[in-house]
Amino acid sequence: MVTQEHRIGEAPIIRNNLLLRAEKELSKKKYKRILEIIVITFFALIILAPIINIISTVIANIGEIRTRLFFDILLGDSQWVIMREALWDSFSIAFVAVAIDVAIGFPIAILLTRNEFPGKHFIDFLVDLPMAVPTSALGFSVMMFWGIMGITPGRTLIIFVHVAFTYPYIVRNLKLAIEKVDPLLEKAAMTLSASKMTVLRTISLPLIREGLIAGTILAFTRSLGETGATMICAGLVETAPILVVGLRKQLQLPTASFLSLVLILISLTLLIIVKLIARRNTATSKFWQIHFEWEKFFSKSIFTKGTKILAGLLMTLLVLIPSFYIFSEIRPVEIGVELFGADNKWAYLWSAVVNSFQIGFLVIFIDVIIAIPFALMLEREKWGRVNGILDTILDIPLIIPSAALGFAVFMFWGPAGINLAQPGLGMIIFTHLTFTFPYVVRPIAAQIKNIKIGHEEASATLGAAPLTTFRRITLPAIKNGVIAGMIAAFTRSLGETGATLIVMGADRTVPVLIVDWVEENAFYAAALASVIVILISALLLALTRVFMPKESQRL
Amino acid sequence: MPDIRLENIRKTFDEEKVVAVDEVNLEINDGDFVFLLGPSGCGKTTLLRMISGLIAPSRGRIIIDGKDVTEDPPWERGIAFVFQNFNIFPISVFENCTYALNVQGFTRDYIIEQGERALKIVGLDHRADEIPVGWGNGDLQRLGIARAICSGAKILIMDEPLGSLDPKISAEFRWELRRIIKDHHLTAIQVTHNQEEAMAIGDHIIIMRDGLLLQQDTPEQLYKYPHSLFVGNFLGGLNILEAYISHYEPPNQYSVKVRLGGPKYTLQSQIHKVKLDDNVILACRPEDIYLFHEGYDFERSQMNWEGIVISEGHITDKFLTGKERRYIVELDNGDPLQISKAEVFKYDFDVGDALMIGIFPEDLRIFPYPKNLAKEMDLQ
Repeated sequence: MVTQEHRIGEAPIIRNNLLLRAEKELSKKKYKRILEIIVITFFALIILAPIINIISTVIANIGEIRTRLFFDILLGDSQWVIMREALWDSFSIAFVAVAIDVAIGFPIAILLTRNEFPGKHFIDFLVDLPMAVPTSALGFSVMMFWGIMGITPGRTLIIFVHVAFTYPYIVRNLKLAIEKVDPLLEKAAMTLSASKMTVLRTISLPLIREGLIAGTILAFTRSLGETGATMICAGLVETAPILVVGLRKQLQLPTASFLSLVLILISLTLLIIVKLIARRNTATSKFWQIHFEWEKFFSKSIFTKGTKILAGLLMTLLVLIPSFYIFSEIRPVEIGVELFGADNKWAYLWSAVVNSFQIGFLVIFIDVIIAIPFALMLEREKWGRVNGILDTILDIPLIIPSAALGFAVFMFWGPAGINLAQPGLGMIIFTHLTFTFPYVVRPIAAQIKNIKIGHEEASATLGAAPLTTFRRITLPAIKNGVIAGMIAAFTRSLGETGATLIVMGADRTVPVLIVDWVEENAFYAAALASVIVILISALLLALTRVFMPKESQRL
Repeated sequence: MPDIRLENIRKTFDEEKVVAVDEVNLEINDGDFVFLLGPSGCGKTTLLRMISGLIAPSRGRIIIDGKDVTEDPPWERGIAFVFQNFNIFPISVFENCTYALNVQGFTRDYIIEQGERALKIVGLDHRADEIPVGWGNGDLQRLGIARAICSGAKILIMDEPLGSLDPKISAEFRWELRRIIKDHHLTAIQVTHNQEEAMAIGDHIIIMRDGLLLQQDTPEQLYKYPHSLFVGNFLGGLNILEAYISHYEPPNQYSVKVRLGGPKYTLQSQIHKVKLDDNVILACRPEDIYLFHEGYDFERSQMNWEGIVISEGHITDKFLTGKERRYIVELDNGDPLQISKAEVFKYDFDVGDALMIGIFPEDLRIFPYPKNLAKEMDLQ
């Protein structure tokens, strides 16, 4: 029997283990306070300040805005009419696009969760991809595809392109909701002599209603706020975000502020609706006797299968083929001519790629430093209401149109505001920090939620200072979330057009370059740029799927 | 070897709405193996977590080895905690085991030496390089214990360490655990739901209910002389008879008459001061009741039955639990009694049999009649 004792006092400790000593010192409460202050300040400056600033700008200039919009000496109220038309266009387009999404998304979501078939994961991946691809590349691809079908830029084309990139939001949210429904509930209803359609109406639909509404609203706000693809497909139509970009170019700052604020307020209202729905947890359904016979009739497999096949065909036609059509437009010779022509497009493309990557990496680097402590505070601190408020504010940049957000950043950091940055790469970074931050925080927070508190407690009782515990236990446990968040943020940064257009100077990012080239009819070069970013996005999405915890793929 | 002292420890949650631990004072001596017992929600785990520093008390002081550690964080208290759900890290067995030494900056040689030693003690030395994923609960807890001993802490705090183990494994493991604790001269506190385990291997047992410390004693004292009906019933079960004091002879001699024409017992009670005519509860253990056939000849018995008080009744039910036989008996006044006899007990009785029921008055305990008898007897 070993009865040898050891006491810490006599045992050979390495006294100058710098790392452990530093961790012990920095674990003290005062340093934690300092960190909290830094993180909250970052959050307030990066996300809240621009939005609050736009509100105060509008209030301060309300007289001028009124004159410009309604009583302009030369234009009368034509500015207001344009703005009203743009808002109406944005809304009606978003509404139609989302309606199409739901109609062809619902059967596909059921197919992808409840059925097994070869190639399912690949289809699943393809359906998600348009969400990750830069919208301007997607928009260009969609425009080229429908162009050969004879559809020219205009409202119809905008609707088609919006269907393509909002579709994944609907399918993904529906899938998450359907996965949560216990199939046994549906089976139980069937044993109680309910037909498939009756089960769908009385059991499944009420249970997934929240997922459906959340997905719908997300897709709606996304459509409402999109710039890049819309610019390519718009022709003469002006949606609200495009109008913001236009007003910014003409330096009509008060009017642009007003329109941005309108868009921000609409999005916030929708966000609040999502949050309220998320909080409700009961679902009820009414039984209308009258439906049963019809539902039984339509439950025949010819109808259920037929619906899925039809939805699959429509999805292929409206989403998949248009999104990736651009691959068939690659013409090496013509590309070569355009790229290495007199205006040296190759150099532009190269510097745009370098810019996009530089911005992306710098942004996720800053994001992740702040996001980890922020996610920990969000999940761990018991600040009562404050946590819920931070959580809601965190979603704001996801949901407001990026053009409006970009404009808000421009007004805050730029010459019209505190004048810390000029339009250009620096300001692009500020803007991208704003809307990528939630993408990094969300998956980390989801991972933190799943951490076993017991592991950290065990580590503490075994003598590890909190920072040592963080390094040895917490960080390895949330590693995947951190990686997934960084990839998601990078993808988002890489694909952004609207906000970048507003805050950029002479330097271009790839999505903006695509818009430029489409406008100057350099289609072959634009096709090459599109294919490059689509491939990069596909790679990033594949990586995300490896690392990302499913639940946090929500937005 | 350190001792632990708690002074007026109180813990409330939800802005004072929930009182988890209420004014607990207790002292645990060097090298003692102490069990905390009580129904779910009695505050025993909360108390444990306060001692280890995982949560802070709302009031009171915690003193370890003469030093006030109330404000100290867990990593500076020199304790080791063994969890019910193990909390084994997803790293190798050896890294798990030597985690404490690693994070405190010991030299490499020392870590290897101590790690190998600790793993050997629990019999996991041949699995040092495995990642303990998919392990059985027994092995996970062996590692948990190895990790705790290897830390060099002299105080071992265990929250239902054997609670997730298969009952049979747990019954064997408890002796090993006691041996390890004694070999290393550790002061140990263990929360358990298993009264038998606490009785078997604990030096002391502390019974808690509703955040209050009810009694701290050796297992034998607790079993024989519970301070309250609840404690007595919680440890091993009690038969209770409603009675009143019919005669009192100072200083502590009582005659107690069971209600509804039941038997009368004359006994001494040290614990509870009760007055003449007071309503009381008489309690005794199921194994302290003797059964005799009608017409049993006490004179010719080889046993000494002197002083036994006999009353009459009949068997209403009987069953076998394996190592013992249980009879449910109804006294002639209608009071039911549970009686347990070792299975080798010579005589067997059948349901409906009339018989004599004998109790030695010294096996009876007097308790004042509680305000809420049902709650006192409720083990939840």
